[in-house]
Amino acid sequence: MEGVNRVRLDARRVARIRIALWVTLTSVSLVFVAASTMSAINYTDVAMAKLAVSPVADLNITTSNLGPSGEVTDDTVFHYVAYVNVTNPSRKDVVLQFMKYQGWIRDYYMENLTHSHVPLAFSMIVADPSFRPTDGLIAANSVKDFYCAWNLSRADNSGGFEYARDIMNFARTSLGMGWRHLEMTHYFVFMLKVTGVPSDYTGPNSSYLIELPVIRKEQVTTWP
Amino acid sequence: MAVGVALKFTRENAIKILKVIALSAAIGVAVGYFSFYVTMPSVSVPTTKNPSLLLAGAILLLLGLIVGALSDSLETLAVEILLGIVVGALLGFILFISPTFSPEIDIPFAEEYIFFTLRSALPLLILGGATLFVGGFFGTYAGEHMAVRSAKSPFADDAVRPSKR
Repeated sequence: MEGVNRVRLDARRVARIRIALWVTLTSVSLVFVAASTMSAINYTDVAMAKLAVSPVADLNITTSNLGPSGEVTDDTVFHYVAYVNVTNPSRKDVVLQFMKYQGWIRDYYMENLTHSHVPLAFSMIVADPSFRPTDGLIAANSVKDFYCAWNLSRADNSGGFEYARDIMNFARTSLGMGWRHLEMTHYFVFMLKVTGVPSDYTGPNSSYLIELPVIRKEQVTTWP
Repeated sequence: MAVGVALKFTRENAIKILKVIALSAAIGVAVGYFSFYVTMPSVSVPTTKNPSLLLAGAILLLLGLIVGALSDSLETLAVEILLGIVVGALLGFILFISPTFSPEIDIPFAEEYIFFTLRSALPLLILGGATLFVGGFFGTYAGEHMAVRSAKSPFADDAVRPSKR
């Protein structure tokens, strides 16, 4: 009788184990389904942030210490002010890590010397600042403005300043064009990063993981 | 004759097929998630910097044990694992291209994704399959041992419906 009871207990135990295994398997599968769904949503949000975040820079340039007849002297300072408006319509917070500006000026002087359009007319950088905001966080579904100012003077960037000065003075005296009417190209690079996505990976095959949260946007404007 | 028997639609066969589908789906969901988790750990949930291959292997081994214990035989287990890996590869691929399903994002489907997914997830699919099979082998042995003990019992039916007697 005792033996029969033991066998009977075994059969019930086996059935209970099978049910427990099915329940465990179902629970584990549900956890994986939930994790997969949340991963897809998270990945989509990151991709959305990479595409939708749009920084727009509005540049304003003024001068001080121009010569008596409006010529650029060695004491002249060009004051650059950039208002950067970052729109983040995504569900992820992003951080503006830095902004880089490069300004180019058409080389009227060289064009006049060679009597042809100079292929490298815009090849001289007249200002090259990098801006790193202290609080660059742009929350999800929000807009934030940044302000960035720098100067171009002989003391700050003698090479770029002298290049710009010579072209501007030549254009003013020979072509009758004020510096505001010279053709310039302003190039902005914005580096933003999606928060909560690790990127400090090392290894030969991890470049896509390093790039994944990085948002790189460019803006090129030509005046006039 | 054998084909005729195999194609014969009975309640028992239907249950067997459903069981194979359920176990393959369970394997597929796990393998699919892990193929994404290992290659894209920074955007998977839970987000991690370094995906733990050991943890993934341990979970797959445990899953193999459970699936093996619930499988009818080693042959069925092999079919379930192979089907599971195919389902897993498909799920991993769907996870990789998941942003393209969003109506807010207008990205054309890039064919490179197929090769990227295969190249990234293939080692895991192979290793995962092997791990599942090792776990499944022991699980099947345990399952058969349980079945033998259960079959010896004169009250085997009792186990399912103990209230009847």
